Amino acid sequence: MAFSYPVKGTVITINSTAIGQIQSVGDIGLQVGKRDVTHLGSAAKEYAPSIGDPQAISVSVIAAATDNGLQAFLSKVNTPSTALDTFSVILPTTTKTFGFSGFPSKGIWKFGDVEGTVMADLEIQPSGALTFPTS
Amino acid sequence: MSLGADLRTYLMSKSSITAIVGTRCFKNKIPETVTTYPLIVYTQVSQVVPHTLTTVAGYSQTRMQIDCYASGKDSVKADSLAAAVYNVLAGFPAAGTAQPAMGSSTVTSVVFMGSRDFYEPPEDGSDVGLFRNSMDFWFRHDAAVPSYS
Repeated sequence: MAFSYPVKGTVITINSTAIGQIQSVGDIGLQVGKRDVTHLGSAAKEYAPSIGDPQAISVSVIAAATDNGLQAFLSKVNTPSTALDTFSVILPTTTKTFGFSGFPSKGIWKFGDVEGTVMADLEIQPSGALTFPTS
Repeated sequence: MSLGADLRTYLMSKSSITAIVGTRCFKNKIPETVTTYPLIVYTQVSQVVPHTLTTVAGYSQTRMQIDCYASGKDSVKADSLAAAVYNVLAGFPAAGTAQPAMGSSTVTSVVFMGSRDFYEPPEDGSDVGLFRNSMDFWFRHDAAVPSYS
């Protein structure tokens, strides 16, 4: 069987501080743009890749006001900074890491019905290239 | 992790209930040796423990069925016992309670899910069966994180 990574055990850090009680992590990666390079001699439309556009990453956590990582994240949502933060998404057991610079772009506390648990929806906007895990 | 024992401890700490049942509060079934009513039987219907990406989340959601039995000679007791149980559980904890405890469990929310009445015919050929009021409650309570040791 080819090696595969389990989602369980994935850790996300902001400036080296782990965000606790994460329940799910959304997609990570870039969307490559395209540019039209069709010319008069083309038999059909022709395209070429442009640069990548890093996509926002959604994270759902069980909200705990005492969690240092969540505090660090939400403080940047309350007071955005022009300086980018350093994020890592560390795959479990392998220490393979996605690394990138970016900023917290959303921090929403979610309530619900009487049987619910207070959650927080976080969103990270990467800026620039991402370092993907290797090997 | 099991809420049942702590639920029993809590119910048995309430004089409004012990005045009716004494210490007759049992898990899952009525013991064969018990012939005195009214009494309570509690049953764990389901338990869900949410997980995070790291481990369990530290809390459980447990649905408990609480059956209040009374002898067919005294049907009103089943209703009054059910009312007493409802009165100490539904909507628990009281607003503003910082660390709401039931026994050794921290119970942060109890929601009353509904109730049904039953009549159980006698098995001995007599006319005296059992009245049973069956209530379901949803509990949110703490759950220990496994140590894996």
